[in-house]
Amino acid sequence: MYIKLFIILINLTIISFPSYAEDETTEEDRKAIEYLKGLKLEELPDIEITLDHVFNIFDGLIKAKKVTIATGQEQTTDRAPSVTSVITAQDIEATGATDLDEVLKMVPGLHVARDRVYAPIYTIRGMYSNFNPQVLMLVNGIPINRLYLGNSGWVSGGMPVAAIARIEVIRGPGSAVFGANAFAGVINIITKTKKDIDGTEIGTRIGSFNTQDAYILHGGTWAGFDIASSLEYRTTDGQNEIIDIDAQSNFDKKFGTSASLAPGGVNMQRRNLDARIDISKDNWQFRSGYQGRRDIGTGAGSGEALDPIGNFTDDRFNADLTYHNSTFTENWDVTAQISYYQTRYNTNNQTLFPPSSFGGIYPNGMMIDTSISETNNRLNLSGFYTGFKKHTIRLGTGYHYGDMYKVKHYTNTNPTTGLPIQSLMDISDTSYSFIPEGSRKNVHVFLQDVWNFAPNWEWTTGLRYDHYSDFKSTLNPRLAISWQPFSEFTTKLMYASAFRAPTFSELYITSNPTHMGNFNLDPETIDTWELAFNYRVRNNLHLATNLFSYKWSDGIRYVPGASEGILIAKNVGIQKAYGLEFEARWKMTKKSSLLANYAFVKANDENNNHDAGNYPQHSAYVRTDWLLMPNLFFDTQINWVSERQRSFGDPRSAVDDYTTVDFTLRRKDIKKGHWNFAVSVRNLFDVDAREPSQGPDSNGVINIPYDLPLAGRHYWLELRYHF
Amino acid sequence: MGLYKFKILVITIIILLQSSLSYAKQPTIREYQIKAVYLYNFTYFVRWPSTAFKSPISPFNICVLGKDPFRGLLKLAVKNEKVDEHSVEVQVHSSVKSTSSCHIIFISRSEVTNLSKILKFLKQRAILTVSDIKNFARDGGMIQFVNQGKHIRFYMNRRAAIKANVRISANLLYIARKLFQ
Repeated sequence: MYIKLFIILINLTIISFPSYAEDETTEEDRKAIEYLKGLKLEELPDIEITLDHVFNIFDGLIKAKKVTIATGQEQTTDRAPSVTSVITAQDIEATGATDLDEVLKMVPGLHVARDRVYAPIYTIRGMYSNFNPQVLMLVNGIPINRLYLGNSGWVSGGMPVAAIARIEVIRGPGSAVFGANAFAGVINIITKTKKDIDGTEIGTRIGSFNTQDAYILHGGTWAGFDIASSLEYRTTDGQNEIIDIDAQSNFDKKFGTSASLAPGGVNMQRRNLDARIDISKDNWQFRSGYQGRRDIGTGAGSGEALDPIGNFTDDRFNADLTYHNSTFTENWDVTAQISYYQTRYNTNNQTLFPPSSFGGIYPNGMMIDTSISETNNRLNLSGFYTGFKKHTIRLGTGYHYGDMYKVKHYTNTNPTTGLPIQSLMDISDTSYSFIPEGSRKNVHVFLQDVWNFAPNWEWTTGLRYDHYSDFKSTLNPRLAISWQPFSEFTTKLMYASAFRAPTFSELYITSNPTHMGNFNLDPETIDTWELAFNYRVRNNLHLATNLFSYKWSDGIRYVPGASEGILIAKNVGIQKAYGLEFEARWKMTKKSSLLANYAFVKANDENNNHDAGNYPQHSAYVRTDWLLMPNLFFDTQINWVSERQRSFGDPRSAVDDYTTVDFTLRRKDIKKGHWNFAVSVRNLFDVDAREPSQGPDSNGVINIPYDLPLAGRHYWLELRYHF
Repeated sequence: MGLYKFKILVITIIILLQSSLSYAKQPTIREYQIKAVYLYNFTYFVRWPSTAFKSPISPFNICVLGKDPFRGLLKLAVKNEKVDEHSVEVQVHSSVKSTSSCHIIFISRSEVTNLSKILKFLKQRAILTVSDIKNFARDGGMIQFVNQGKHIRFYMNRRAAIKANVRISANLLYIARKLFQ
């Protein structure tokens, strides 16, 4: 595998080395100079030039990057007291990512796995779980994790990227700043403002799997307000890789039936509509958005049996009003924010097992439909105080009210007799319903101090207290010391504790025949130590590396309970891990750059003294960008995922490694009123890449033994125009 | 991949590769194209003492010291041009010691480590010094190009020019974004 990777790299270097004649001027040069000489001298300072690093990729890659995610204050990634990554709109454009999950592949130590319905599992530093509540997802700093499963929604439907200005990622804990679920990591998606769009841009894309995308962005001023708005639409049939054996195949074998649809393709169709608006004036900013997901395919099936009939619907609505005044008084920089986030998912004709399953007693298949609505309201106040010499103090408090309501449950199995019935029966709001409705209140206060106690030394202390209405309160400290002995080199040592709130499903599910919730659960906790180094070797070469170790305690697992055959949620899991991440960013020539990262992690399930499983122990990412001709860019990215062991009790051999390669060629002028064309090939070598399926179920059966296939080679073609 | 899709892909690549596509009146302007034209323009706004020329028809020399970033663009900009009766020529020098016949010297970024020596050597010679090295004007150079966003502008050090007996027009001072006195 290493050799293959190496050969690919060598080839790339040879094939795409820019053949730029060093001493010849072109007809374009002649025209440009003629044009410039026709201008007056005083007009020259206003001429817009096209820099050779149009995407900002060549210089942008190695320039110091700034993040606000670590402390709330803008800092360079070198000095911020967390291990952070920043991905800009330029990176997204250059690499040809069209969805958030594709973008996140470039973050070291973060691997995007898939669950049975192909929702993403953001596996950071070996922390893999089915529903992934250990990662805090933010849009413009506001959480989008939900109460039910603690993730950003089990009906994912992806997220388009045209409206994204930048993504800041913490690999590691963030509870001292963000509270719950900032556990394995924090992903903050920052949307474009007026300044980022500056005019109107339209774009359209067609691609494999009958994918069609269109978007429009607008940034301008209206009646003294700065306005940014975006509208993005996608429709796709989705990839159609084959599942060879599914849960129904196993039943068929047992009962001598032939109901299974496997071997058959996964169901990945969807329609997305994303609309956002951002209005700001002076210290005030109002943002609102709607994200609709329709006809989302069921992936490999909710019951791990292929389900082409069922589909999911998901709606999200958000609004926030933010007041930020950096000069509130001489020493105070204050922010007040009120936010609202409403979500609702539905399953439509979700067929857990296909027609004629169970010997034909379910003529339409065994069906369950559910729906949950949630609202999450938040009020936050925070401020920086700079009145003490050498100290920047941040104080904050906030209130969160989350409500899970309109829980719907329909089934074609009679809950009292367990026998099939003709049509769907509404058992919502009965004791048979899969989960009761509920709400949660949370109040928090935090204090943080950044102390420049000596030149080149910075000491960050943070402490956050969270009080919850439905489980015990928690206090999370963080300490970090950073030292910059000379301007090119920074090192920092960090400790932090973080927590993950028990989800409503873990607390309150009572009617599930195999998995019971437990309202006495405590939050999961994690203690992390990190040692990081950043080194700017030369102006054009930046290296970063970090070592980490953590202990994840009180992990919520389903273990045998009081009665036979029923598993109950308990805080019993312990996982310990250590690892390192390494990053290199190198501007090789004026017209080429290279970004490479490598991550290693070894995570151990302490309860069973077994590898935690399902995460890659080794992963690497290499990206090169070339300016082949003026305005013609070529980007290659290579993803290598390796050494994914199985978790305890799963007898299968390790998941196969894979290496995928993507090419993107883009012709672009940065001036206004110009076209931008691109063509991209994803998974160029049509590699059979797979993500782990679930291990043995409570009956000891592995429903999808050959894992979950990812898309093979596919293409897209894109056209943009900026007015 | 079907043949049809493949055709579309091939056609698209061809379109992408055709750099002859032009969309607007203003051609794409690159950094050293505009810097070359600036250098040429400076000849109109700066006056050299007559002693700087061997004869009324000897050439006007624009020199590049160090690695030439213009790659022929400067030659293109001054082709067939004259300063008064002096035809304009472009020279590239590797050492400051051979630059006595120059009227404008553009000091390439490759010379950043020798800059103070170069400026010391050129001090009080009637040569307009120009560079895009950081802090050039502050440190004793006469005109420094700066990239401000997508624009190329310049800073000036008037005192350095006066000392060298190079007279800079007030109009040029007016256009400069920053003046070091």
